[in-house]
Amino acid sequence: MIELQGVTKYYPTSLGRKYVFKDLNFSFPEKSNIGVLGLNGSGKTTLLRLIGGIDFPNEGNINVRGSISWPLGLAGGTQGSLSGRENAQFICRVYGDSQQVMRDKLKYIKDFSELGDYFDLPVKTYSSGMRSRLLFGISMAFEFDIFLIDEVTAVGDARFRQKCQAALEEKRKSSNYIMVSHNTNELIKSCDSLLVLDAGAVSLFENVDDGLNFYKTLIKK
Amino acid sequence: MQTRSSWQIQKSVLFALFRRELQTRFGGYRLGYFWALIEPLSHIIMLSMLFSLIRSDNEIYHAPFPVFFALGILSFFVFQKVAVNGQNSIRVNLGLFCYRQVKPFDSIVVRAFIDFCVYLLAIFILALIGGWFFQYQVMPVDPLKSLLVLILLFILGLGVSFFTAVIGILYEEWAQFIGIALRPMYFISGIFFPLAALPERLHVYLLWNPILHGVEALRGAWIADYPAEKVSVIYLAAWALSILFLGLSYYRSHRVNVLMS
Repeated sequence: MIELQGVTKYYPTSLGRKYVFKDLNFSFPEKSNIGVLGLNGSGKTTLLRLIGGIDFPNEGNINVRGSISWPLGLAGGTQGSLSGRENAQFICRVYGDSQQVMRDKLKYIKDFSELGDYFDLPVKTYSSGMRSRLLFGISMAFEFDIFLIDEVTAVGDARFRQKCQAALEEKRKSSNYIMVSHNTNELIKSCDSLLVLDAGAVSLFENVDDGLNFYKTLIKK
Repeated sequence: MQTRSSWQIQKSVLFALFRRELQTRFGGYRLGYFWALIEPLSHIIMLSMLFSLIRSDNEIYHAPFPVFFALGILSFFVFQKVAVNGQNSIRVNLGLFCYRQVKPFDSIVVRAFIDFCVYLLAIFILALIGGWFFQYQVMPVDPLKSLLVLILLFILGLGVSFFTAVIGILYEEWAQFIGIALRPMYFISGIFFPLAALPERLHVYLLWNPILHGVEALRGAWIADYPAEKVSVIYLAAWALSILFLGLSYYRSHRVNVLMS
């Protein structure tokens, strides 16, 4: 359950407050995979960060029940001088995994990310594709009630993208996700409902096609 | 997914960060741990040698000057380095706060603790060197009290480091100022001279300084017959806990701003 009550979020700038959301009241539908769509700068990433508990509203409350992932696809979260394995170990430890669980997860991540030897080399030696593969592999090793996904499925080559899709499809059996994406085909395929952000307003569409039509009128404006 | 208690989460985050800090800070080079110690060690050895040459008396209250001086500067560093290094504690780990369990608090505590450990290790190594090569009397007379004083100095530094860490992220340019403001403490904390060697009429003012209490109390606990009646561990403890409380309150009231900036 995710519920936003009177959420106002702004960023203070030298030109005054820039509002992202003003007095937003909204409940996410339960047991539903939700796509988030909006023009650049409409607050998609901010919304995910607020739900993920790593950013805070200036006013209002966000009530969340159930476990929620970190926003996948976020650039931070890895340390360049540490190896992929050490970075993954850190996250396992943060989530309190036992040695046994950690070993299994590390094996899974190494296989999934297809990094080979690079898994034990510093992340700063990785290409951007390898880094994304590592990050995606790490997130798929964990179980959450709700995954927050920020355009992460756009990484890697076509084959790896398919693998990501398959992994997400697998997760869908036990989890739900909230997914930011500009890829309409992907949204149609994997989402039950659609959230369209426009100038601080949020509209929910139970039917993905309706949402896409609404979004098209926004683009034309 | 099973839910964990707040305490379990706190424990695993501190442990995870501790391991990670050890890897990033010292693991990058083959001699990483060695370099971490070289800085304090060389500082102390250089200054001890310098002052031993300048001074005619090589003993202060039955203690060889290098022992006296090393105890002073090490106890001072335990406070000062922890306090000043706080200014980077949040910034270097900004990327980690995308895991919601990890908070700036954890980063500040873990980094301060590692600094403390480095100095404890430096004390140990210096004692080995001094005892082995120079046959100094390096064992503390009262080890438990010595450790207590060092821990109190650490807590005092930790309290200040909550201020420096938050200021370091919210008002970056002012963070430097804290380091500069602490600089004079170097001269009024009894590192170079024992309190008893200074004019009696100044004692009233000098004894306001809790770090002087820490420095002299450590020598009192370490060196046999060292005159440390004028200083009080209780006074140091009162300061340490008060500053820690203020530092934590300051952090608490700014913690959301820190994450939003």
